[in-house]
Amino acid sequence: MGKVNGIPTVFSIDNVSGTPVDISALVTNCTINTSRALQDVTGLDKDGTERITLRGDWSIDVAGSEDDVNTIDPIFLDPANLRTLAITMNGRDFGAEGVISSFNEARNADGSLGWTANIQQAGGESLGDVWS
Amino acid sequence: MTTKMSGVGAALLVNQYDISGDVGALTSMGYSRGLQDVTGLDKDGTERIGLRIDSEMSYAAFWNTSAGRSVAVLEPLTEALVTFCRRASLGSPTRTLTGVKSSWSVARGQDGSMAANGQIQASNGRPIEGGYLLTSGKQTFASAAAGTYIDRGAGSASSFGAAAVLHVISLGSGTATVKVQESSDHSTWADALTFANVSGATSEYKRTSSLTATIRRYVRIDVSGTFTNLVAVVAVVPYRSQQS
Repeated sequence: MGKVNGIPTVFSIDNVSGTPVDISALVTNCTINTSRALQDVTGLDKDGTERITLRGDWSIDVAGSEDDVNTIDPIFLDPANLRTLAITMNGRDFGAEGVISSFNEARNADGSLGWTANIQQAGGESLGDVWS
Repeated sequence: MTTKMSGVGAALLVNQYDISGDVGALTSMGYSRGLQDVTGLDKDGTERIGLRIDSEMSYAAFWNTSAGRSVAVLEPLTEALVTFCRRASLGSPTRTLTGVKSSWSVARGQDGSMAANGQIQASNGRPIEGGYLLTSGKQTFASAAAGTYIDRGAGSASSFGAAAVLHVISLGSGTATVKVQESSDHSTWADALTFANVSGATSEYKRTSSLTATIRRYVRIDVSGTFTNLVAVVAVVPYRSQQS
């Protein structure tokens, strides 16, 4: 039985100064999307479809809560500079350079406060090197 | 071990108005930015660089037609200096946006309810900025005095200047001068920036004259002049990286 859950997961991202910050305690959920463009190279002689792989890409959607020492502020409130991400899941590690694309907070009517962010690939790494 | 925080007890200032009680939710406040694909021929993955940043705040408000409350403040689609305070207390995180109120949608429900939603979009070329409250929420200064300092923590000094925002809700009489000061030891203070003299309700966003100015660990406000009962909210945004 090799099936496992995602507990615990470690989520580390550089702040604007390039210092890695472990924000695992403040991240409630994240989705890592990896994809690769495909080129349709189907010849006239084929009944089915032929494809070859092109450039790879990844993006991360992450959401979380906030704390009393403004941990997320130096990370997401100033999106300058590329950020090193290091995410350790159960049995797999993700590591790459990303750029913050968006950041949004919401103070909801029930009093809850949370944030979401989108980070996209910036470092040009091969997908084969991103996951280990 | 940090403590996780809710948004209960937050505050919202728009220009010289405190409309915290008339807004039930800030449905979004943040930024998005364009990204340019700069992937070289030699790469298997994707290379990107960040481009221009655009910021906005969206809110859900209740219907209050009293002077200085939600309808009077939010309905005119004009410039606005907006500060969200996570708590109305000294040192609380803030979000400040200089923007233009771009929409105001009123809904009268079949049940008789009345509410409004709207959006404020960045207008001064600056993104939404995160800082700290230098007042205990809406604080009253009966006369000239220095505010209580905040401690940004060891290693927090930076040399990228700062911005600050002043919301004056009211002034009893006279003229007040509000400064933001910084210090390495909370004993000897240096002026970081000075707002325009205050002679009534007003608001102002200001940056340090130099964007290489050093902002050290401790920050406070200093209020001088001859006046009575200045009621104000002040927040500071010490920059953590080079600004333009």
